[in-house]
Amino acid sequence: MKNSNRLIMGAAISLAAILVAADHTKHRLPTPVEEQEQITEQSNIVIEGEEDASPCSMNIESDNEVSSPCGFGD
Amino acid sequence: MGEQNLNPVLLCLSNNLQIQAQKKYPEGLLQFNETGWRAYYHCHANKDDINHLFEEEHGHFHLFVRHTEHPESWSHVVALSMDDMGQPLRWFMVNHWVTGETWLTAPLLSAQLHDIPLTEQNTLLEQWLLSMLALYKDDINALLVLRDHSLNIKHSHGDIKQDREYYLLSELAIKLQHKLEQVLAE
Repeated sequence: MKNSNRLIMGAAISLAAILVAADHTKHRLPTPVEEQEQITEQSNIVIEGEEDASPCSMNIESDNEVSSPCGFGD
Repeated sequence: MGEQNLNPVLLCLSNNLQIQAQKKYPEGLLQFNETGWRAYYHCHANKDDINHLFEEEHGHFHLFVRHTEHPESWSHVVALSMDDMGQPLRWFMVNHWVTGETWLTAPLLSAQLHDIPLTEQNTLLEQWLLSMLALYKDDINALLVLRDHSLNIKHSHGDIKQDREYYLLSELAIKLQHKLEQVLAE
C-alpha cells in the first residue's frame, strides 16, 4: 500500500475511533477506594509500597535510580 | 465503545465496578501489540493528595514510548486526564521524578510521535489512545516544548527534574468536539 493511502486509512480509523468514543460513552465511573477499604479477597490487587516512590513509574526494566510514582511498575 | 455502553476508562477496568487508588490498570499494562508503546490508567482517591492534579479528574492515563535506538529504555510521553464520566479532560506533562523512566528532551520525544502505530491489531482502547495522540500530535509537541521551557526557567537547589516541588510542567484542556470539528473542516 502506498504511504499516502496508509496515511488516509490511518486517519480514517483514527477519526472513526474517536467519533464513536465521543458519543454514548458518558457513564459515571466508580469512585476509587483506598487500599484499606478494598475487599481483601480480590485477587488482582497490587499494593504500592513506598511513599517516596515516583508515583507514576512503570517500574519495569527500570534504569532510574529513584523509584517513580507514575512509572510503569507495581 | 459507545455501542457497548463503555468508555475508555471502563474498558481499561474491564468494566470492573471497583477501582483501587494508586493501582495501575489494566494489570500488565496496555502493550499496544508490542509496537513500542505502553500505557496504564490510575487514580488518586484523596482529593488533597498532591498527585490529584485536577479537581474534576477521576484519574489519568500515562503513555510511554520505547526508544528506537535503545529498545531497553522507555520514556514518558504524556498523561491524559479523564473526568468522572470517562471523558478526556486534559493533556499534561509531569516532571521526571513522577515517572522516573529515561528522560528525553522535547525534540527527541517529538520524533517518536511521527510514527504512531494506528492499526486494528491493537485493542479498541489502544486504538482510541493512539488516535487521541495522533489527533493532538501538534498540541502534544507544543506541550513538550513548554515542559522543557518550564524546567529551564524554574529554580532548584538540586536537580530540577528530581525536585518534588515541581510536579506539573505543562497542560492543555481538551475540547474534543471542537477539535473534531476543526479536523473535519480542514
